[in-house]
Amino acid sequence: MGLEQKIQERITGSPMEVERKRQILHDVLEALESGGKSQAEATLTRTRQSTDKQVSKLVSEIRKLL
Amino acid sequence: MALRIAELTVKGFRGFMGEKSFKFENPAVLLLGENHLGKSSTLNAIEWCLFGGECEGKETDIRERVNWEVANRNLSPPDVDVKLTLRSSDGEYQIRRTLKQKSRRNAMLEELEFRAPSGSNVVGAEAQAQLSQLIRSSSFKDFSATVYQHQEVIRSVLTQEPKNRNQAIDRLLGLSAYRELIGAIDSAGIPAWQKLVIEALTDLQNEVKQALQLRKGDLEAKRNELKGTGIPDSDLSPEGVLRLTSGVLKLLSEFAESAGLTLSPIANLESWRGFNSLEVTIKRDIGRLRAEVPEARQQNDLFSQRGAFQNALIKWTNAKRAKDEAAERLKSSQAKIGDEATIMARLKEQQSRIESAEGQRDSASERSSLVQEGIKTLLKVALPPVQMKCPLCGVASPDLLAHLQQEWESNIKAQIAEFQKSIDIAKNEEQSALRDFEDNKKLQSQLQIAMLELDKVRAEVSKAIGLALGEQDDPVAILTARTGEIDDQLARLKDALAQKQEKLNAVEIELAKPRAIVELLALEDKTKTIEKIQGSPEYKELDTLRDSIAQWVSDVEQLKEAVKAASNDEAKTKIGEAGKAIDQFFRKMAAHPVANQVNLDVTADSRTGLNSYELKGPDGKDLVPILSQGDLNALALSIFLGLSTSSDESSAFGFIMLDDPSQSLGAQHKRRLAEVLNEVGARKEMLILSTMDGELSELLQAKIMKAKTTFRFTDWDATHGPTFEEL
Repeated sequence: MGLEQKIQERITGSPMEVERKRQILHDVLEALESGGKSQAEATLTRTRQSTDKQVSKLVSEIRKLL
Repeated sequence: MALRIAELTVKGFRGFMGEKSFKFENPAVLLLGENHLGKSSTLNAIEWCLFGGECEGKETDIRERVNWEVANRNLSPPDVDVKLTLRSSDGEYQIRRTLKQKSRRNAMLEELEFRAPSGSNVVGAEAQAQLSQLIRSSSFKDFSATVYQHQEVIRSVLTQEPKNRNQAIDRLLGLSAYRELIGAIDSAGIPAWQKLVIEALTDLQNEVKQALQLRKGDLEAKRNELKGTGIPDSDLSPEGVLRLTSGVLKLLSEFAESAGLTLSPIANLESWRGFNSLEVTIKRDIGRLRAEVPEARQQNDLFSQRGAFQNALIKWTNAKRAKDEAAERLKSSQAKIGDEATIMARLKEQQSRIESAEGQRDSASERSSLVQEGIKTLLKVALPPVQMKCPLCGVASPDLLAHLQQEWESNIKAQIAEFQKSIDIAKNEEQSALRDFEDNKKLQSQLQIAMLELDKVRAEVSKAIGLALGEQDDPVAILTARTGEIDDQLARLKDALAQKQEKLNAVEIELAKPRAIVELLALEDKTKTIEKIQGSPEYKELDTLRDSIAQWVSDVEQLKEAVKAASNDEAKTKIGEAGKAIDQFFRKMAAHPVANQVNLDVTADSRTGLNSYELKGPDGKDLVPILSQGDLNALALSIFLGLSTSSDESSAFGFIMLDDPSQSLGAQHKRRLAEVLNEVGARKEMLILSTMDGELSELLQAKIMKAKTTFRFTDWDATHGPTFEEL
């Protein structure tokens, strides 16, 4: 049994939650296999940065309305 | 039957140059020889042929594999070719992996070839797929944990530092990926980031709320302010602004009509939002009307006239004073030095005196010349004194020279000096009279100018009052009387004008009402805008975003817990399966008087959740503090051998490879290691052992009961690579 499957078996929650966590796991593991820990970290950081952009855009739009 | 190695051919790989072949015909293969002769390169070649690039780099968890050179650096161009023949119950499989550079500019190209017992030969992805199937999808890490014991992995277990030892045992168990995954999640700093983002979003929401509160406060204050203005509540609306503004325009129009003035064309207000610009226009027109009402104009004219009179009065007063002062100065001067005729008489008198004195002086000078000439002549001829008649006085003198000299000294010289003195005095007097004449002229001129200026101002005053003034008139009295008349007229105008201005003031007061309502409406507008922001999709998205961030962070945290749990479970499973074998191998190898039993337990660290290993003795106490480096090495080998033998049934590989396993081991440890390896060999189809240790070599030869193929590595040089012989 592969690593991904072993971890997946321990993921709990509603089907939607499980699917979300599985997707994160898949992305991070793929990065880990291709470029090690730094790549896995970068995958999570990218999600952070993408969220940061959304936040900045929203904040800027609301400030304009103010 | 699991796989065993039948043959290995190596060319251009790490320490190898030209092609070298090894036939592994027996179930035990020993690679003997000193360090740096090619033994490790031989084992590495087997590993690289099976896993290629997976053996290289940081991800292997083996430090020496970072920047690991696969190709022999003395071969140019690189030409790596490794062939591995694996034997199973199906027959022989041949795997060939090459690494070549097609041209100097090209990167290195790795290629895989796979030949099945059936004779089918495939390359590339298909070869990789068939190889993967053959080795039952074993990864490089599985291989490291259960087939090929690396020195570095063993060395890591020897550390006394729990954190590093836990990491090393994880690596030995093939669980590093879990640890790296947890490390990557921790390094991403997600909870701290979430805190910052949520703070930013909360701050913004608070800012919006505060802005709304502020606006509502302003609005309330404005409403209270309006209550005191008498504007009915019904007018506190856009319609109220239109109605009241229309009323203002009507008032203004009526005023203009009554005053006989024309109102600027002002369009009626269509929306309260246009009030500001209309207000500017109305205020400008009110200002214009204030200035243009007849009373105001008249008042302006009177003020202007009054100003002109006052200016004329000032100018007249100044000019009059200037003229009087000039006359006074002339008068005062003439009292002192006389008038012009007196001065002229003085001048003529002095000139006459000068003329007379100069005549006398010149006459005396002529006589002086004659005397001096006579004296000079008499002195030249040097005659004895003779009586002669003086040519000047006609008196006979016994000594004419002496007579002339006396005449010169006592009369002529003094006379000339006296005349000259009189001339000088007269000339000084003449100069004084001339200066007085000039001063008098100057004062007369100043007086004349002042009189002309006074005439000019008189003409100006005449023009200002519209009446020709003569010298007999008193402009001061006339101007003062006229100013008084204007003041009377202004006093009469003041009341009439005040009534008009009062009407315009009333219009301005009316105009302030719609202005106040407009301010109220603008505040309502601003409040609605903020309320609109709170209802906007963007604002609602803030909450959605906050929720989705929280969800993602929670997902990642839960995932991390799942990784920890999976890692811990797998560690427990592996240790559980291999525990008995590990204990058995350790007891045999260490033969420790106290540590005669080892229990390898794993728990999840209470703080980090990572696997934490405890090596306990029979008394349940931690064994590590009483173990020597040799015991720890024996323990590390026991873990590796325990895992290798416990995975017999599931593993694709029927062989294990140990590279220099006797580090830190004493003679007794080595002897018992050889015995343990013999036991392992009985359970494995093949043992491949490499050692530089002569003592272990002899023990392996003696203790391993299986048939052996022994290769002795004797030399290595850069041109030929390793030199070895099969014993």
